[in-house]
Amino acid sequence: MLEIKNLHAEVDGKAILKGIDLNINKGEVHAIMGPNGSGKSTLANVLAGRDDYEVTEGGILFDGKDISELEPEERAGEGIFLAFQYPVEIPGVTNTTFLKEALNAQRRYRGEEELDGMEFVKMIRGKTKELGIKDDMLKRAVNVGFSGGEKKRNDILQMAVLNPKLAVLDETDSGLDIDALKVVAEGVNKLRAENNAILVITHYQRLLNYIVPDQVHVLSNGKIRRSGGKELALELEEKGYADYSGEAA
Amino acid sequence: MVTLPSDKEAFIAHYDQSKDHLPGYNLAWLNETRAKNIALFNDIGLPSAKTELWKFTSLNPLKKQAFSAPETSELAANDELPRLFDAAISIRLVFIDGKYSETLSDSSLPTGVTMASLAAVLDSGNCDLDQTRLSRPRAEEQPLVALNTALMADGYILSIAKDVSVEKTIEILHLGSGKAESTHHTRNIISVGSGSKATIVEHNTEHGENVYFSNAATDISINENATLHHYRVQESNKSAFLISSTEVEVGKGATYDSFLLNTGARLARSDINVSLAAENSACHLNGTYMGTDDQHCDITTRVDHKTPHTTCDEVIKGVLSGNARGVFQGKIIVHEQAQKTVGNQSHRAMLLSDRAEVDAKPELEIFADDVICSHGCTSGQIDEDALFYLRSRGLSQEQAQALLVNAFLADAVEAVQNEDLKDLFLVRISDWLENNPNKPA
Repeated sequence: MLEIKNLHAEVDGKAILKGIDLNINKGEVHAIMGPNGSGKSTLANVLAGRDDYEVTEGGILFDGKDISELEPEERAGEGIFLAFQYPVEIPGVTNTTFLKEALNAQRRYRGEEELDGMEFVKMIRGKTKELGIKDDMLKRAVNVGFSGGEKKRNDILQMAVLNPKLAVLDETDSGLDIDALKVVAEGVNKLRAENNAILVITHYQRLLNYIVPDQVHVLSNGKIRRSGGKELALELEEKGYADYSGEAA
Repeated sequence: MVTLPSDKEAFIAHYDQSKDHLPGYNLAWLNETRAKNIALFNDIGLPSAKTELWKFTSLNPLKKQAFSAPETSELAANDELPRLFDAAISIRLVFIDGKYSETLSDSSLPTGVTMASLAAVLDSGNCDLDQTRLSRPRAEEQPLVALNTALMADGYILSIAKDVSVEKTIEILHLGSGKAESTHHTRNIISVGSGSKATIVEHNTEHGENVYFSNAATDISINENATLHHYRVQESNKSAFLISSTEVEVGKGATYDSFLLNTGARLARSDINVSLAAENSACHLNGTYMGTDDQHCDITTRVDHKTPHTTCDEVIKGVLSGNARGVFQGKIIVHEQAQKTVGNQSHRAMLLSDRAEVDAKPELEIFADDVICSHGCTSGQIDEDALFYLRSRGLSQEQAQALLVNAFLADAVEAVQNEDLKDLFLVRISDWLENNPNKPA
């Protein structure tokens, strides 16, 4: 589904990603772990198409299509979703308005029929129930006054509504206590399916106790240094990133 | 048709030519008042860059413009007139090029409301208007009000009796006929009787794209425990010069609640001066402005807290694109005896292009020591993180921007309690966003 080939990217003229190769198939969960400054968040932003991140070499194929030149909204339409490390507050825009506009924008992009108000409400009620989210959250302005945990749950709700093929979770665990972490992980697990894939980006292993990956990759100094099964995460937890930090300097 | 340029000499010449046939020309006290005011205007002249209150707003474009003297421009009865509210819930008074049109206005006023046109009152000769109603504090700071007093030709005198709650909205349409490059000076007087409540909505718009200059002055007194909701929808064409000055005296326990939505005019300057000289008087001065192309919008307010226990809050938000320029000057003066004053002011502007500009000058002058006052002024671009967040969920750049700008402005509209009006303002905001695609520079 996702094929990253020799991906180089820079921010403000500074090379951050220095040749990443990564394949993720349908139904798989991959985790990327690495020390601070290794390029983890850059990779997430490059996948989502953020303006200031420039791909200088290599490419990203998504379902066989080169998406490296697409706008963020086009990538969303293709089925890529980024759960933010720090979800942004949007005062004055309610969750319902936002979700409806986003979903219908994506449906238009894919040439699908837009949902009308009734259909949308019915669909979203189903999702909030499934995820155990209170309906009053829908009436609130996007992330405004939300606790850290609520913001992350709101991202998971968006993910459930938009139903992406690939979800990239960028340090979703940061700022969460253990209870909030479990709730968010549960939400993600409910959305795991044969037809979609998840890329978890994290510094710590603890999230991977709850979202169990099929493969773990160690990112350091802009390159994947090692790949393995879920046991690799435990090894990293024990030994730290010291073995990889030499190259990060 | 007389063509008038619009520098100081031209206005004075206009006065000399017209003083013998302005409304009420046979009233000695009025002639005296007019003469005094034109002399004052002659002394001060039009505001320039050196005038402190006008240093961000230049009248040079106005000075270069030639105008005709106003002509009678009665519209045909079948010309469609804009109406903001359904006739079932409002009564509408119509002014065309500054002249009251009795035939186009609704004839039956709600109980307790009386309205007369200024021209009719002055011409009748036996009006109870006295000079004090037409004189302003700090007259020397207000040369355009002096000009208005010298040349005022019409306007409305609207009175609400005591203890009346006026259910219907009083809509006042100020329509440019689009027939001439005219200049007009309207003078309006509103008084709200004690214990009463009323909503007045003024709507500036016109047929066509003609240049015109409207120099309006409105004097409002709100008596004990009364509330006046005073809303303005200024959506004149982008050639118009729209200057207005509103002076408000708020009585004991009374409230002046104002909201200004400004999308129109080439140059719009709105002065609002509020005097809180009685205990528990309050004012809300809220508004939004939106400018594009070469539009210039200036909102200048002054609130004088003169006695203990008075309150004012002020939230103004603006969005500018193209070469547009916004000005906000907000002065709050807490006089020495005005203990327990609460005064909060906030002005926030969003600039959508590199060429747009905003100048903000908040001023707090506090002479009392037991007060709660705050002010905040910000200006900035659209939040890039928020934009990316929305786009990453599928919204296009334009959609995301419109959503963010809309939310930014809608926040100011929250202060409006009347749901019909709130909706009207929100629709105006989304219409503006739709018709003015804001291309980032």
